[in-house]
Amino acid sequence: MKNCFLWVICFCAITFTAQARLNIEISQGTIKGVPIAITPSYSDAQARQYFEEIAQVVRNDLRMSGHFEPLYPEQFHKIASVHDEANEALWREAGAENVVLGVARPIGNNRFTVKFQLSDIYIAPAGQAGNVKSKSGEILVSQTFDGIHHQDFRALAHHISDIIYEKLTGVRGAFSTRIAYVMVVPTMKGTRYSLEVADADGYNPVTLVTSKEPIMSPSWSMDGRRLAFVSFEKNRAEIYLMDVGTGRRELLSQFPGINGAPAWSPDGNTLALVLSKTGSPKIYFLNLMTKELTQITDGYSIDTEPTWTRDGRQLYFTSSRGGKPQIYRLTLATKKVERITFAGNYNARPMLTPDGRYLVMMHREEDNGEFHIASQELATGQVSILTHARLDESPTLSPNGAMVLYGTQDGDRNILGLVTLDGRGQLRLPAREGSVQEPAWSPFLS
Amino acid sequence: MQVRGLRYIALGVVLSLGIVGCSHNSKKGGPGSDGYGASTQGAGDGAGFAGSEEQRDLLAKRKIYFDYDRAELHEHDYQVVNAHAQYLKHHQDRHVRIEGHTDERGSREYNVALGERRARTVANAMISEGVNPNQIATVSFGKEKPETRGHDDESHHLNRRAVIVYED
Repeated sequence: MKNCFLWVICFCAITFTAQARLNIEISQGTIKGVPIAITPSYSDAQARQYFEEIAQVVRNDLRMSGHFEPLYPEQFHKIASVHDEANEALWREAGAENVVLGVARPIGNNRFTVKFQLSDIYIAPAGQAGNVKSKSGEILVSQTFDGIHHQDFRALAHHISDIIYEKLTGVRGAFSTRIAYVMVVPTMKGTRYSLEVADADGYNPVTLVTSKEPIMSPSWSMDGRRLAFVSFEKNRAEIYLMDVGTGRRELLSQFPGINGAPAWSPDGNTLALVLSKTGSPKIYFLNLMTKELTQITDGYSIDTEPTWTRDGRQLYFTSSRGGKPQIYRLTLATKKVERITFAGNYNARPMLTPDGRYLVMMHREEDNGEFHIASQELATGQVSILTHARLDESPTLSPNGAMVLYGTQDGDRNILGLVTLDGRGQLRLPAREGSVQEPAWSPFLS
Repeated sequence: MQVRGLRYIALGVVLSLGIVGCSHNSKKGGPGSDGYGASTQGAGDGAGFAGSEEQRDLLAKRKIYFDYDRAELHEHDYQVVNAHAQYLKHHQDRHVRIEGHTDERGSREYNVALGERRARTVANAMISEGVNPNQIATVSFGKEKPETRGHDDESHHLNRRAVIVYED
């Protein structure tokens, strides 16, 4: 966890050094993750220190995923030589089930050759059924990266985390992704709102927009290159599109009343959005090529927070058409609308897992004023409550569907929380100052 | 909810007739344009209407509070809304922005929708009083700009509001 506190170093507004305004804290872990050791190899004394920089990031990533429990160096202090590293019994004694050893060898001009290998030293208890694990000591992955610049260590570390995660869980890693979120900081001149983008672990934050008025609802395009968001900078609601790489933005929607809840279609050609220009908040499609606007829902109720299915054929959205807010599904071809949520008296802000199996949403139980993040298995209707604070909101899923980032409160400020879809690995990511809210996890970026 | 809102607006029209009757006398007053809350008065633009002292007190009120998850006016707020409506009718060069707000509970975009309903309730009441719709804009900030940061019932009450803001 040492690397979580680097943020104090730099206060520059825009910089690409390793500052982080989001701080990772472990708040609870319900199920223990797989113990894994990630450490520099003794095979090259000079390369050890450099690889430790990478190892810290990898340990942090894997801990964040909720599926792993990286060992602290003190836990394997007996391993102190190349000879020890090859001794599986010593690793087992330290409690490790997997070991990652690496080196980062300087080759001049601040460039390095980075090498790592992942091995399995777990031995299933005798007679355990269904054991498909490799035999102990087997090297599962061994990779070398040439000519890596020192400033790219974090990016490489996330890439290595992705490789390890995928090898050991069978699920693609989502550590080389980014998150967008809204920061709200009280200042002498009033509240300052900003739209920021950072690495998925909260490092390398960049401010895209700053405003004295609220910013809301960032939404990533499927290629991860653009963000749609709502800005009140002119004391009315407007939707903008921003090119994340260049920082250029375009005003997209400024109808009277609400311009909100933008959601990109999977093909990137259409933006679903909410307008109230005819009276009630309704869902519309805006064709981004032709700028043609089509009304999708109608009636007097509130319809908002659209989200697309992966095939682009259906929308899930929040509606008050039954009285209290609940989640509905609209099939675009037939215009058929079905109610999806029935448990609890408030369900809103739907998000879908990439495989389309689970809905993740804001959920309030009957006779309870608390809002939690819950998942609902669509096939069975089974609802599982994932978080347990008082006002949890704005869930967003990692692109591999394994993690849910959401907004929650800590005293008078808003912070982000992270939980796995199976309800373990609770983490909190507060901002250095002020509030952080409305996270939006990017798609896979490569 | 929509139908019930309209019924209340109609009731408000009836209740407001008395105010209309006494709103042509004085030369001073009218709301200032400093936005939220502050009980300021306009410098007086000499346009004729200003109103009695009682009228000025009503115009000084710019915040209207709502029940949880509701967007209907309370009866005691009709007078305030109508005082502003009369002022706007007599000052067609003035424009108001009506801001809708909610408490912290619920999703952000759903709260934007709810705040919009509150702003619209006030705007519609003014329009039914004869105010030109072009003088009124509505915006909902949902729960993004709370009046107070507390989490108790009283804070929630203060945050569930529509604010009448005079624009220059």
